[in-house]
Amino acid sequence: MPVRAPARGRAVPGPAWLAALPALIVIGLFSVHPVMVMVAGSLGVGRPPADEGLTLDHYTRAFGSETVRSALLDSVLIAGGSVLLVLLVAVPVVLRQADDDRHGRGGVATDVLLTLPIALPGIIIGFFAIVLTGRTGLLGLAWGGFSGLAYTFSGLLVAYMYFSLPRVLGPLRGAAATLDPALTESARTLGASRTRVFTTVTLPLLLPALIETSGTAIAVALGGYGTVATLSEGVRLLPLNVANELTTGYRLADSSALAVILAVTAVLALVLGRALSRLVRRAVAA
Amino acid sequence: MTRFVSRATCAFVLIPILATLVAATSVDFSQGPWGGGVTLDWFAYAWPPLAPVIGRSLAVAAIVVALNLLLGGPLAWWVARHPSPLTRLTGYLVNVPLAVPGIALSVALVGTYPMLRPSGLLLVMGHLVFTLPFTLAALTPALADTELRTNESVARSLGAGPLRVLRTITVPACLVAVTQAVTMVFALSFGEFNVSFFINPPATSTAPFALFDSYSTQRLESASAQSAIFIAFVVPVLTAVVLARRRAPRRTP
Repeated sequence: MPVRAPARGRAVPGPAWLAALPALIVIGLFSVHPVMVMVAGSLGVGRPPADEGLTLDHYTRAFGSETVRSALLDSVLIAGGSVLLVLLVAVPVVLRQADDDRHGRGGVATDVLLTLPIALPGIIIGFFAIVLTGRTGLLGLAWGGFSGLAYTFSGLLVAYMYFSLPRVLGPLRGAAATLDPALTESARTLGASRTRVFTTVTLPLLLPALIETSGTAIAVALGGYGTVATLSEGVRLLPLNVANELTTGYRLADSSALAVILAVTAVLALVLGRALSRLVRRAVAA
Repeated sequence: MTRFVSRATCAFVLIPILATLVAATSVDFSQGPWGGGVTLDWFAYAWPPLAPVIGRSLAVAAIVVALNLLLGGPLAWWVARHPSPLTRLTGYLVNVPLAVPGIALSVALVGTYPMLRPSGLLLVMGHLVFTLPFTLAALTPALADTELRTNESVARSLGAGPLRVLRTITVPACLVAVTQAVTMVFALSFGEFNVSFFINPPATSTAPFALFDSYSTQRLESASAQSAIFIAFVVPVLTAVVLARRRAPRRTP
């Protein structure tokens, strides 16, 4: 037996990475390479007809434009604001879900409902905003202030909350499931109030996950194009500018520069979330 | 308190869907809910042009799922079984479409391969690289499971060939993870709009584009009916996602 085992191991045809090769080729060709071509194009080093030599012109033009600057600012505010607002409701929701899961109670319907927005394209979420708070929206009948809200900053904020909700709940739920219920129970029996247990035990333990999830969700919301595309007559966000450069006159290099700015902002949110989360995790553990 | 917030959050998700149904069944929504009476005409009017488009979206999603299993399966196996700096780098590269916003990836793809757009090949490839991270996240932990690896080596030492081990041990053990990956990828591809924006074949587009078009050109009632039909296709897939996740031993993000 001990002699046979290594012989069998050697009988495996070819090195293991060969199995991964087709996927790696596809990722290289259709993900990594196009992104690099886009970055090069935004720097003026496009394919031969569009090659203008290395230049930062497209970036100076982008940052020099008032509409681009305000779109970038609004994008950051909408993405950041919607995720932070979602966190406020997400924490109680995942704590309830974790509790339900532990007691085997949670219903499938609730679960489906809270996950559903992840499979809805952003355009439908924008459309929801129109149905409820557009000019002839349903909520407008209850109170006139709701009519036309879809096209304002606050309307967009609520629409992006809908978009971000499942993207925050999903990862946070995993973190809440790992919380040890014995910790909160013993704090309670030692006489701490519910609020005190929440602020001194539950919240610090959840905090690293909260921060990391926020970073990821903000990155995704920054790129959320569909919602704002449906509501495009209102507040303008950066993804709209990216698309406009191509739909109105195919200015690939300008569009690429804006896309790179958008991507860098998203990556920044992602990296910042990870780094802060690691820092806080260390602080909580200490 | 937590129960109240949970209920309110569910209502937040549900209310717009119900409102869309109300709009889709109103004769004239501008006169208020069910203004001018209740009708199913908008559905009858919306379905015939939407049916072939939905069929196309289902076909694209099915192809993307098949490619995910065909390419993502072996990739996940390699990452799970041969961890090295190389597989960690691969992990980063696979996740590029998660960090780069969809519309930016769309610009990158159409700028690099404009000739692949009319055939629809670019759309399938775009969906594939966009969904591969989810397949990898679902399959890798399942394939790395130590108990599964022990079972496999026991089967091998008893003389089972690689195909038999795969068929009788590996695939059954990963069934929940595979279901999770398949359903999630299907749902994501079916509703994908951002990455697809510049790479969908203009003449034969997918369902989200039909919706987007009707939002700007059609009456609110008709657009609502189309949205409701689209949501009706998403809900069963998503229910499958949730059921698969509930059966998973570990939660994957």
